[in-house]
Amino acid sequence: MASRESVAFQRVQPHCVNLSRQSFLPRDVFNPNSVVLLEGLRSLEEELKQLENEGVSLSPKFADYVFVPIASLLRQDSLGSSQTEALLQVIGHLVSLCWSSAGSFNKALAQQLFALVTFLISNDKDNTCLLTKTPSFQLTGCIVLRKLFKAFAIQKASGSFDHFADPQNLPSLGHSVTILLDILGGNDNEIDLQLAAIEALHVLYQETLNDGEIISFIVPGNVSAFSKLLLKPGLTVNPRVVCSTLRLFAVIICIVYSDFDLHVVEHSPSDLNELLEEAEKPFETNIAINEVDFKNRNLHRDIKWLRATSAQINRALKGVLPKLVKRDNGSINLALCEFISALMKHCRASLNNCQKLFFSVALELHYVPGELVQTLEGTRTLKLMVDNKVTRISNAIQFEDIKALQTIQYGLQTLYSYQCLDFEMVDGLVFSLKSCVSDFLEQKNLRFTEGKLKEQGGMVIVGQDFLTLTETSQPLLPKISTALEETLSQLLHTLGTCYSRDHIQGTVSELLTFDGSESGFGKAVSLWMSANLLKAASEVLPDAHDITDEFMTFENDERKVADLPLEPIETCYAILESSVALIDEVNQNSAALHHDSEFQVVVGLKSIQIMSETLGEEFRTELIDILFPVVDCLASPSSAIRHFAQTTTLSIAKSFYGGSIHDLLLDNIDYLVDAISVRLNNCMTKRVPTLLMVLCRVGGYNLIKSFKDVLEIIFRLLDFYHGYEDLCCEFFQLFEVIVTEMRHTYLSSTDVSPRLKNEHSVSSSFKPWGMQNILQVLDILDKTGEKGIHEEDFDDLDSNQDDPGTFQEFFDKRVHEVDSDDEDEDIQPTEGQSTSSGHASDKWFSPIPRDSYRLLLQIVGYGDRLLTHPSRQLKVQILQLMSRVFPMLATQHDMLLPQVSKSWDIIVQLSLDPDFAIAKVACECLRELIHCSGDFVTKRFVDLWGAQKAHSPLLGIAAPKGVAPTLSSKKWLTSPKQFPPITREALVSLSEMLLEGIVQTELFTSEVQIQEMVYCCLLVLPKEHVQSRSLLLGDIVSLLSL
Amino acid sequence: MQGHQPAAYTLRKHETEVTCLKVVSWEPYPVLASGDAKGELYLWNLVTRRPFAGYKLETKAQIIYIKWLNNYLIVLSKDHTLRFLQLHNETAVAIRGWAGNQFELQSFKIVYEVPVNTLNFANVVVTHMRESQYRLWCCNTMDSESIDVYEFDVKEQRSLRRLVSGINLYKAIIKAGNWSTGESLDKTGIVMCFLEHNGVVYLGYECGFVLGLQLVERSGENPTIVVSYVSSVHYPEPVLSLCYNEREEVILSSSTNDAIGVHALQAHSVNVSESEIAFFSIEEGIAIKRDLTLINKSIHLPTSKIGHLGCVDGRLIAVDWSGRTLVCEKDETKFCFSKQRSNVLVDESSAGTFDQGKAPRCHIKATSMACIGKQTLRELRGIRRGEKRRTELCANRSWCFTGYEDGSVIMQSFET
Repeated sequence: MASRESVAFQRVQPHCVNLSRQSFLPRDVFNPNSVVLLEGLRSLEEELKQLENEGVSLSPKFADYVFVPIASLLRQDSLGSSQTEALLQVIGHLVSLCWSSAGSFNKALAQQLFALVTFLISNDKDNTCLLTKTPSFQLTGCIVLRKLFKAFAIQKASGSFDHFADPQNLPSLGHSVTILLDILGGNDNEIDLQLAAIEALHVLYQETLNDGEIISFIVPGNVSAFSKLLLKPGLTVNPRVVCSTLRLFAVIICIVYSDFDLHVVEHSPSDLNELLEEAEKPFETNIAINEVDFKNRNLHRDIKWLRATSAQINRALKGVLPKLVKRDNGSINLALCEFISALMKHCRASLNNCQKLFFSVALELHYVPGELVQTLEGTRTLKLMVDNKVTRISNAIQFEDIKALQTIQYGLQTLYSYQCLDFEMVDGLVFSLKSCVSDFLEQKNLRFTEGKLKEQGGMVIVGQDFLTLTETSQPLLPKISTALEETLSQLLHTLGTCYSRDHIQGTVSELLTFDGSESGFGKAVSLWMSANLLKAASEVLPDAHDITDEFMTFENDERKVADLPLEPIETCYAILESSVALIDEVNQNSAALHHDSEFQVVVGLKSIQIMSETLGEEFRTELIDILFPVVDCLASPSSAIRHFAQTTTLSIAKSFYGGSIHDLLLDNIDYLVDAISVRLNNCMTKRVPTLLMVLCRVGGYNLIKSFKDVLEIIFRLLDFYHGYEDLCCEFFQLFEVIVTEMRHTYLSSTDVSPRLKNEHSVSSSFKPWGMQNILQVLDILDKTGEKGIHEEDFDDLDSNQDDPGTFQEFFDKRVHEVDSDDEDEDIQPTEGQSTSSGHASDKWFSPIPRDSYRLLLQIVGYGDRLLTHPSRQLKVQILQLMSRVFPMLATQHDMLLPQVSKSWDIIVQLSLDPDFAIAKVACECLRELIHCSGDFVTKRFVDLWGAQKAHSPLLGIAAPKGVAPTLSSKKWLTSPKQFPPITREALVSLSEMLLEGIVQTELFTSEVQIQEMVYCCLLVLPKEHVQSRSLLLGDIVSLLSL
Repeated sequence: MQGHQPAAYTLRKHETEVTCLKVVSWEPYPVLASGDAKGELYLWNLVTRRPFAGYKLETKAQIIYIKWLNNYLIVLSKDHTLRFLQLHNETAVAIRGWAGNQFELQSFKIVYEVPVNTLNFANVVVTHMRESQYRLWCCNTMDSESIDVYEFDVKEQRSLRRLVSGINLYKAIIKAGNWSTGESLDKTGIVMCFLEHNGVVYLGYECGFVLGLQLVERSGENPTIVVSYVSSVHYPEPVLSLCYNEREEVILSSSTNDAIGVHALQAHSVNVSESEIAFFSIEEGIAIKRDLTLINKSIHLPTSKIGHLGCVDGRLIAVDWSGRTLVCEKDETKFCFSKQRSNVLVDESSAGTFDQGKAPRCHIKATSMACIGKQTLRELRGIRRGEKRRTELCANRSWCFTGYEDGSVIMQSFET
């Protein structure tokens, strides 16, 4: 130790000597601003600093030695600022090196030194010059003071002396504190400096003084300095400084206002009257200092003092804390929490008057320390505060004050966790929330919209991929920021968790009971809230539920149901019902979609989704009623509704069908179809064709077979509403889907011409001539084989024939006789058989069963009828459909022909239409007809040509000078003429139709006519194409082009 | 779901006309059995409205009559056969009740078969005697105007025993005290329908007579048919349907006119004991009460040609030949529904038909009917709340089921 000290001696000695040269200069020679002096001081300081850093502890003797030149320096008249700074640093080092161990600090020296240091830092009481000094000077001051305080604390702790017990030292103490506070308050840009000042004060209060009585004298100054600092506008004060200040603030208050130290007793009401009085003025302090405890010591901190100063503190904090909360800085908030927590821990009684403030701050911060709530009074205060916030919830919503809402949520959570939340409050909040939110929405939406929504048509929707989700999330509540929406749902979630099982049932059913005056927004908001509340309540229930089980035994075994997983809350079903009701209400009013009704539907969908998630497996049984409204919304004209319908559908599919919407639809297609049929029966056709199309595609033809009765309804609707173009078009689009599915099921879809499969029937009217392949020959030979081929299709007929039906026939006749008076009504038990026996002689060749074939005939029948409709689009639609149906009908040739004869005239008429778009499809359809029916239409085809020549506007364009080929025409027959695209397309299909007719009828047509036709074809089609169709055509073409 | 609004659903599975419907009691809620013209049978869960069991007769014969007795599905079909079917696995049904649309249906196995004359339209009566013994009342094998009674043991394929053979009740009818001989009645005509209630078998005849019969077996003698009730309420129109009205404890009968015969039970609840036999004249195995008189009481409905008649919760449900289903209280129609047919008719014959001149039928024919009243459910144990709720929704309503020629079954609720 000694050796180290001697090394230290040797190290500082040259510097001391060097310094002495300056310091001992006579006063008149001494230059207080001498650079040499400064350097001397600095080199000494450097050396000491190194020593200090090495962690060496030296004896006071060392200090004495070093102090020799310093002392003489201090005797000089003045000293420059930098020199003083260096000097202070040297002193600082000496304090830590030599006087900081127990007993090493001489009391007298300490007294002198402290006064000296304070003087050196600031030589006037008002510290006017202090702040003009450089920050590094001020920093040095802070550090030296801190070191001194630390040294005093050590001395005090070791029992050698208590520096500030001596009243002589109090002025310096006061001065030093003002120095530090001024530094703290005056250097907003010098964070380190401010922190150093705070640290010094911290050491002083906590370690050195740690005596409430002394500190209580300087508390006012501190409080005002702190408040002044913390109240500086904006972000002037660095957060770190703020935090440290707060910590220091807490320390000082905790020491001065310590409940324990002050012997504060709370005055608890002893009778009812007092209790009532107290209730009237709940925030008045009813505390007293039990002064008897102090044994007649004369005290500064008596009850009067407490009353006066605590009010000041409250006032100061009232200014400071809320302002700091507004800064919304994480570390500041944390510091605030600690502050409140510390104060409540140590000074709960004496600073009772601040409790309310603390609560409101803590609520804002979403951190209510346990210390606050521990007492009855605390919880009561908290409740009042929350209640107060709750009453202002409409403001919060009006101004979209998310923070306020979050505070309410936090308050509720806290109250709930301390089990002092009553349900009236929750209920009250729920209902005021409901009215506020719905009013707000109504206002917002009235203010900003014209009310009506832009709708998108059905085909747009089918055009989009019906079932793929557009991923972008959409806000639920219209015209409200998503943040507010999110906050509201969180608040609801919290509210929900606060409910008991029975209680929520009541609340939700009250929410969902609408009187007539409820607006669309009101209903929707109620539903949305209910769903959210229930969801939250369902999440908590299991635990809450078990408690009753533990304490109660039930005689009847009704409770055994509890062995099953927990039953869902009954009200979930009420929510589902309301959701469906809301959606239906909108969908059934066919008026234009408004914002409130859109919102209603969207909320309905969302609630269904929430409930499906809440109910889990229990939801499966509800799909019966729920799925249709949801799926129906997938075809809604509103994109928002579609979006939520998609998310809901997807969520259901995820829960029950592994994410496959296809499976979801397929598995519930019976319910969907039934719902559609109910709708159709009520003549509500909106969206129905679209939905059926989707279902047909999903379910395939096997499904379609099972809802033939729905198709019958559609046919009936066509009977009645054929005037509505859109409706008819949509229905025919549906028929097209059905026909496609049927074709897919019964005919190989890749087979372009299914007619070729008809190997067993020879359709020619000259049969057996006209056989085309060996199979047909075999077929003729093997007549008995026919029966077996399509056995199942007419099995029932066979069985009828096998019956010894004599008696039955006899009876049929009898019943006929009996009924002959009544108009020709059917005879119930027999008709089915009599009609089917009419077919007994028919052979069924078609791979399409009779029932489905019948459906095709029905479709074509309606097509025929509606081809007279003025709508162009409908005509095109029907003709296209017919072109597809006729090849399918051709699979049963003899059944095709009557239909061909029925449809022929109207289609021919349409092929003469001046609208080429219609003429084109009509020609295509005729071509199919001719192709399917073969020579059956020979006569008609020939007549058709006559009609075309006479009336066709199309032909008029192609051959304005008549269709008879002339000599002059030959030269330009080599290549087709040029036409506008639409005309050209129509002409091409006309020509193709003519070619098909020529191929089918060949020699039945006169050559002149064929020449005319081919001439027309050559105007449109290339020669090679025409030639290639048949030998006859080849001949004609070469004849014409010769 | 929508409060008390009537609900209508359609059960779709049959592809051809639904010829028979029957409500079958089941736990927790009754199910519906349906049969069609091509021999397909289904059992429907009415809560989910989906079939859970099905069977297809190999012969594809039309189903005429279905009855559920002691877990046997007894089916009479146009292939002259009465079959006893049994579910393969009854317990599995309940569990799968809520499964989706796509699961496989439970199937039946044939337990027993009896040949029955089905050249007429009549159903049969099957009653349980003892253990696996059953009694069958049906039309005579050769002559649909007379009846046969058989007994058999379903566990013994060769146990068929004819108790009564070819009984023709023409003579019994004309013996009735107040039958005016001035009316022409030279025969009964064929038996149109059977109904059993409380041991008495009721027969509806083509001539419009309704008879109540009992079978008396005395040891050592041939069994006797006791005619205990005769009514000519529908004469000369044929009896089309019989049903039992639980609330008023009467048997009701329908015909081609608007009259509904009301046949009070007291009038024919005979205690057929030894002593009372003295009051009967017995001839050819037929015992007739000496003072047997015709009891012709009737009410009138606002429709005629009632092919199917049912009665539930005090309401009469009548399905007429024009496809309408009427729910009536007394003679007042409370509710009526039917299915319409589209206007454009399809000519299904390549050769054309002779019906061209006939006005097209604008309705879809109703081919069968069944109904079920409100049910008080027993305590539903082990059933989840959602299911229970749905079942209750069903049980709180009266339903009627009408089968149509297009294969659909309308399930319609109505107010009572």
